[in-house]
Amino acid sequence: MVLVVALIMVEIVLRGAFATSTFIMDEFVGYGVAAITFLSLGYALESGSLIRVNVLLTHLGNGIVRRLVEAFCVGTTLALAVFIAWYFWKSVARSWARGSVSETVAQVPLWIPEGLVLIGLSIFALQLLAYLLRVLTGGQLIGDDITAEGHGE
Amino acid sequence: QTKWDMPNEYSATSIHGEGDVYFAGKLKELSGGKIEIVHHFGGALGYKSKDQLDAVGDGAVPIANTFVAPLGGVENLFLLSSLPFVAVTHAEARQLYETAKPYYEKIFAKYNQKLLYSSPWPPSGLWGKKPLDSMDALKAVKLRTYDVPGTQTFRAAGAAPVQLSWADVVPQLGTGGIDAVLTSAEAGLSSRFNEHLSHFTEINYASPLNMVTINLDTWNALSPELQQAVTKAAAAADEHTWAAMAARVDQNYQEAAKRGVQVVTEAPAGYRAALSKFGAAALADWKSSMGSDGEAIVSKYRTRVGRAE
Amino acid sequence: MDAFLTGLAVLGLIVLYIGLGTWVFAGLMLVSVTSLGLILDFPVDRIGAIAKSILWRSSSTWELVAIPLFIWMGEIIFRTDIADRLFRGLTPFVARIPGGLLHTNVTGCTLFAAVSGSSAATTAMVGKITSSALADRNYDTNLSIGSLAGAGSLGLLIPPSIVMIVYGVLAEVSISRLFAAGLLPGLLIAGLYSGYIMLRCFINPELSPKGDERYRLTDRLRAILDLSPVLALIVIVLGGMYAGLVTPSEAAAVGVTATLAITVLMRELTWRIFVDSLMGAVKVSCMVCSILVAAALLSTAMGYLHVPAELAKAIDALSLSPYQLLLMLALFYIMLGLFLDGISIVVMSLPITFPLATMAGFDPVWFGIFLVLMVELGQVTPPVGFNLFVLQGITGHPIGRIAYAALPFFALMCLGVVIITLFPDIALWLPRQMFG
Ligand code: NA
Ligand code: NA
Repeated sequence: MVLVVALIMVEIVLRGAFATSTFIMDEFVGYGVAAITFLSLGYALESGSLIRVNVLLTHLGNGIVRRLVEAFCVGTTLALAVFIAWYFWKSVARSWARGSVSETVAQVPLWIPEGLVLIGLSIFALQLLAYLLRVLTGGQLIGDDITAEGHGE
Repeated sequence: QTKWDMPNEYSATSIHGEGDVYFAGKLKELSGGKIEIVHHFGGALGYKSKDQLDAVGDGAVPIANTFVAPLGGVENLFLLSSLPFVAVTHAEARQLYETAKPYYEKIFAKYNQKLLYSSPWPPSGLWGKKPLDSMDALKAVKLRTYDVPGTQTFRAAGAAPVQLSWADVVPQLGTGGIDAVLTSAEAGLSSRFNEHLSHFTEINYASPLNMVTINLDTWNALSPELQQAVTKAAAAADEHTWAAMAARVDQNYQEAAKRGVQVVTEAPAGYRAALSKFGAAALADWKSSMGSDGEAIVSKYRTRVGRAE
Repeated sequence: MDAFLTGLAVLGLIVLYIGLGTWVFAGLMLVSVTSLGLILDFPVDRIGAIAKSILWRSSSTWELVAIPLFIWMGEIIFRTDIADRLFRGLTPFVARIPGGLLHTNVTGCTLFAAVSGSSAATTAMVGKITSSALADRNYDTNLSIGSLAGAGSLGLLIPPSIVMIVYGVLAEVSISRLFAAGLLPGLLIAGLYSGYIMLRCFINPELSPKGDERYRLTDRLRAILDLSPVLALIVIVLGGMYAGLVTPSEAAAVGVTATLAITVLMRELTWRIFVDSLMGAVKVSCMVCSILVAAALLSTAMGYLHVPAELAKAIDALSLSPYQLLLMLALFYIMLGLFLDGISIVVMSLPITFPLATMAGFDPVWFGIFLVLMVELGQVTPPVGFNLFVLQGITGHPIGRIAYAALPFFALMCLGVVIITLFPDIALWLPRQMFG
């Protein structure tokens, strides 16, 4: 994110003061946003920042039903993450094999930015898997440790 | 009866959108109503042109209208139609397309799709606050360009090219962040450049192409009669869009005049020759990236149009 | 009406997935994948190809960057003395006005709307700064959250605006005219919000703390000094943009840099604050961006289902009078707004509704403003309402509570729509003055 800000500032200064341009800013900033979003999914999940509607969950107490519902949520999300990661993997592998690059001056090999998304999804999937095991073995649930620590950041 | 979702990044009133509607009408008629096209203009389905090569190849959509220049990073051939000053008239642009068509077909087959028809952009020129019809006039002008060869060409010519996303162009014109834009008269008119800029200088920089392709699995699953209907409708659409392009240039100039924009069509020959010279580097780069195919396409094209350079 | 039933089915799926407690972004993606698979019977590989393509396209766009950057800016301001000073500085000036500091939500959002083109960024940035400060000072939570949800969506109506740019490009309407046309309706709605807050607090003084101290001139001068960091930020960002030095999309980066510079000058910025604000911003923007990306996939799924287009065609077939048509369109957009995000609503329906509206005699610029208002309404309606999600992420209140708090502001926005329908010149006067 710091890099993204720096890059945009460089572009503004170049254009304002030197009447030229990096010519790659919007491309790299776009990659940056995608990378920030997907790479931080796992971290945001663990810290409880990914929002969910927990009307039902909080009404279920801490019993077996709550754990089953939670397991269902985690399980479907895990399946989704694996599903999407698989198609990103196919795309990354294909871009690698074809040697596809972006159409700008930078000619970035496309497998690199898409690969960052793939890594983010994989980390997210692994964390979901770990969390699923935690749910099933009676470990701590994500919503709970937040209230326990008083939303400590 | 089957329905084909057909994405197109551009609006229904653009030359490409109208071409699609024409194609859909013909296809409905020729297939006896068996194939219906559902248009998704303006990128409504979520795809940009650069996604559509794979979207069609993977069958995410059965058919799509794609601006091919952004695919230049995947296959160099797709850069051909946007190279500066290679084709400077309507007839030349068409000849360039016809010459390269077998090569396009080969490439598309590699990506599991089949080329149906093309739709050309009206030639790009220079929108500005004054006539940009000499090297002096171009000097230090903050000009928005859209691709690498354009940037190189105009930087060599002494202008100050900048790259902005299309969404930022009008706000930047309003605040004076840029003072000229390289694009067609048509694109400028539809974004109301006339509220900020007073002149359009015709330099016929390039006529880039959109191409419509169909997924090969979808194609192979069609009966021979339906395949024939698709081919016929595509051929008709091809004629239609190329004819429309010629008519559009005149219409656009009339519309520009009506809105108080001065259209400068008579730039000194020396100026255009000088710009072409700067553009020649881009052509040379492209040819070397294409291997023997590049040379073959260019020399065949030159023979067809009878222009040495 | 097939499309209507399909729409209801998708809505049901959303309520099911999200109601069970699946993370919102995952729920939206699951709904998209499920409806492509079950309703349209697409093969798995096709769904995978669609999902990959759309998720990549929608997450790697440069226009999205304003969201994480403005959120970061909000986090820095929130963690340093700037936010405290802002409220200290404002107190003497608003002490006599019913509602007091609650008006910072409305004015703050209106000012930031002039910098940012998206409503999520506006809500997140202003909400981060004001919501906890207002809660600490015992202001009514419902009014505070509601006004944030309502005023945050002004990001779309007050220029610059991403939705207006998209509309302008698609409908071939001048973007400059649209920007000019949005300003007065934006101020009108901000005025309605402020008026409502004043009225509520006047009737029921319990809603805001008493500000009965007397303030002298020196207090006011000190207050101006306290306000100076924020004023400087506003001048730098707005000035840079309207002087043409930076594009609207870049303004966020300038904002972050200026905030960092000012906090350094104030000797407020520590490494700790820097890192904390960064990590905080990463978490919130991950939440917002992941939902936006998921919503893009849902929009694509709806596109494949042909729901918006079929519904609009059905309205076309009714052949209504102009005002009946407008009412029908409003209902149609409110329904779409329940589960689609802003830009998709415009893009998917416009090819049919734009000709309908212009043929009925509505001015294309005016219709653009109407449409932006419709999109804004969708930002505050559950189950998919971005300002609601953002506020849930920031305040931790459940989404139902936030939606309830936003309800009066939703109604005020509808009132705004009625007013600009009756007096279209509120939108059209300024562009006419500027461009003839
Ligand atoms: Na705005
Ligand atoms: Na909504």
